[in-house]
Amino acid sequence: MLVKASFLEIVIYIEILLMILVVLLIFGLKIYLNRKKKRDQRILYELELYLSGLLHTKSPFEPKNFLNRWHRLDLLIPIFRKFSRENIPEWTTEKHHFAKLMMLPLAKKQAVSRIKSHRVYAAMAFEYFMEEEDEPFVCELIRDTTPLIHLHSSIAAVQFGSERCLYEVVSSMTKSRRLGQSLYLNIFKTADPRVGSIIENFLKTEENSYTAALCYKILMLFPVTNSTIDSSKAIVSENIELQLAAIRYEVYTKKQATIPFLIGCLADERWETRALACNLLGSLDAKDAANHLGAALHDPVWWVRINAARALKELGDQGIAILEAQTPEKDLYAYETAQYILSSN
Amino acid sequence: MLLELSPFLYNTNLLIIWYFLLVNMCYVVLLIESIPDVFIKFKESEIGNIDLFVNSNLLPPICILIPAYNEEDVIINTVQSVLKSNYPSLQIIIVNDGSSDSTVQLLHDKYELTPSQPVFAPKIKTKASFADYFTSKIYPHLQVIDKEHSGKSDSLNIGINSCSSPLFMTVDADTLLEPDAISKLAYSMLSQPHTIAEGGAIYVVNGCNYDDGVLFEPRMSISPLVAIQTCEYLRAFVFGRTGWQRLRGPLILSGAVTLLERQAVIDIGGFTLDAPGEDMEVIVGLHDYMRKNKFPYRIGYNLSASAWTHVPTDMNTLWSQRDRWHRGLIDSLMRHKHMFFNPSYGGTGLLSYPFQVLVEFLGPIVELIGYIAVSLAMHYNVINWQIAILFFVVTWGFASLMTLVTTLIVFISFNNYKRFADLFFVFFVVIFESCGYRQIMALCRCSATARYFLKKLIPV
Repeated sequence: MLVKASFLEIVIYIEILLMILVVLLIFGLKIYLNRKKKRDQRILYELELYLSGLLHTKSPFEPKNFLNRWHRLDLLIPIFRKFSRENIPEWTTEKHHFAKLMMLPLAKKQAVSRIKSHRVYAAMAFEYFMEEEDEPFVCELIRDTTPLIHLHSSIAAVQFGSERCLYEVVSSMTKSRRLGQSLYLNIFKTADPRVGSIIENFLKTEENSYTAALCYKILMLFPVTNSTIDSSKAIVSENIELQLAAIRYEVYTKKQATIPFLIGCLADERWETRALACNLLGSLDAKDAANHLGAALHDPVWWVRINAARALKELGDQGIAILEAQTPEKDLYAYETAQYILSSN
Repeated sequence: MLLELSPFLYNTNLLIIWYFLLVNMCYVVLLIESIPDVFIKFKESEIGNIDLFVNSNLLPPICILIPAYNEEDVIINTVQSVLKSNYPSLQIIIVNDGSSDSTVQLLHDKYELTPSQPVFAPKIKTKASFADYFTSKIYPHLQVIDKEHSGKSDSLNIGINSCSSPLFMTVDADTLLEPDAISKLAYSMLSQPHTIAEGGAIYVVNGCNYDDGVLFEPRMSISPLVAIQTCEYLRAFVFGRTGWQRLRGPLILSGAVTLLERQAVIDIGGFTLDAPGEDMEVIVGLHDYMRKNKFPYRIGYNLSASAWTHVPTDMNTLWSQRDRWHRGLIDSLMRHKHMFFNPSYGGTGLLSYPFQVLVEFLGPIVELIGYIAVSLAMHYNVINWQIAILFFVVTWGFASLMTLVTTLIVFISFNNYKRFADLFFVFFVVIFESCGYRQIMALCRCSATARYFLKKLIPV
């Protein structure tokens, strides 16, 4: 029958066969994955018992007792996370030691793997411990285009304060889109203040405007110290990102001393700079700038007017009086902006 | 004349059978392409909590946009399902598109809304000239924008202007999100480079037991019309979108649950106001913009991020819905016709876009012609019963088999439907799909095509 079947019928039979094979394949995969999951759960339980035993008896870790089937980052990392969450006192002191002996060798091997999930686990492993000799691996992971990988390895770089890796993180941030940059900034929020000094050193020699702008943003996440950064060129830079970031940093470090400078910025030719100056004058409670902010209410750009009005409201009675003094006859746009801000929360 | 028509009728029938054989082969290729992703997503869903992979400070804040127009029956359930999400950093904005029912009143009563006056720089030009803003006293991250009626696209654009997060997610007002849907989409975005859009899978909630935003028991509806639509959704989402991921990205992600990068959507001007299918248009627009500017990008789809939506329960509403969807498809294809077989658009221009034109757009027309041609040919004995059977096998038979296969894959992989009774019901339903429903849908889509082009030729 098959020999006599027309070509069309053969094609139909092939299509039906392919679909049946697909279903059988999916079914087979499910059986395989279910069995693997049960096996992994058994190994995880064994491993957890072993590590708990080591911690509670304060016994030294013997590599020969570490079974081959435990040499898996996808099992070690969940256990390490669990112990960290449970706040076991012995874990806090032993965590780095265990990570160095158990996870680091695996992490170095998997950091260069072509399988993405291996690289993810390697990046997560370096968060627990890394040494100077691991920097090439971590730098390679930071350059990875997968966000999970470069973000986790960036956490490791920031945590252990490796200068070489930190520079790689900052370079990687420069190339990422806004979403990526905001995630990177989150990583620096919990960094050691020593990292801030390293970033300051980068900034002093950085020539790329976007990288320099990012360095300013990162520095604003650290407590104010005796900053040795000279921002005089950056605050007048042609690159708007750099200019805005530098102005914010100047205000962050010098506070009230920057008020005269910000008043000067209200006349800048760029609306972004004018708007930022209004915003910052409000946050500094610059009562001396009230009249200048009142003049900015008549700016042709809406966003400048809104920021000027918000700043005036933040100044309290003096600013509110200026807002309430606006009339539609004098300037309809200023009046509407003032009314909008006066009625907002 | 009959003698002159005979070869024409015969060849037409043969051509149509070959057309559907090639289309079926494309579907088989898509099915095979979807296997690795089904495997990966199944494995990921078994891991359970994505907290293992993603620190909470690595999770980007997400703004959920819920446009609502006369949704008093379903809106509270939808909002409750979003509030019950396990994602830690959410802002929820419900945009009331001038509803004439009690949608806004229900939101006021449930969430104790108070007026607020947010200040933001609108990045997208919007049509609505006024809007009132409210914030919930109980959930400070929940806001309602009450505006005049200006359409879903404009509502979404107003929502995009109001949100401050780098990502936003569109959720239809009649859709229940599973608690981990947002986490899974966010994880998908972070586990692949350059992702600017990630879609989730939609299942049909009609017939399921749910309350206060929680789905208790997923089950197939006993209504044949709803059950057929359930099968259609399974077919479209399991391999239709999953399969296209490896072939340079799907052209359609459901607006009911899609995570998008805010900056990318702003760059293309937001949702197009006069597009009947705004969800398809934004995705095609993103493909067009990113390819044209040679930016690296990825538009993906996560089969394990699930949401449950309502489908029409009567033929009139279903006809209107499918008519709008098909006009939306044609509209998007016409707006971006420069992508058709254009090598500068890579795989999207050479594969995805032509597929939509040659299969999704032409398919119903060819099928309708096929029914007429086969009937005529059989009436005039131009073709024998074997050729006629071949035609029905490649159209009806294959579609039924594909539905069964994809349903089995979903049952095996994700356990969204747990009852064997539902699986057996699907076997029963696929027969009825080909006895009337399929033909009506083909007719509906042909009618939509005719309406679209007539409206273009004869502007009102």
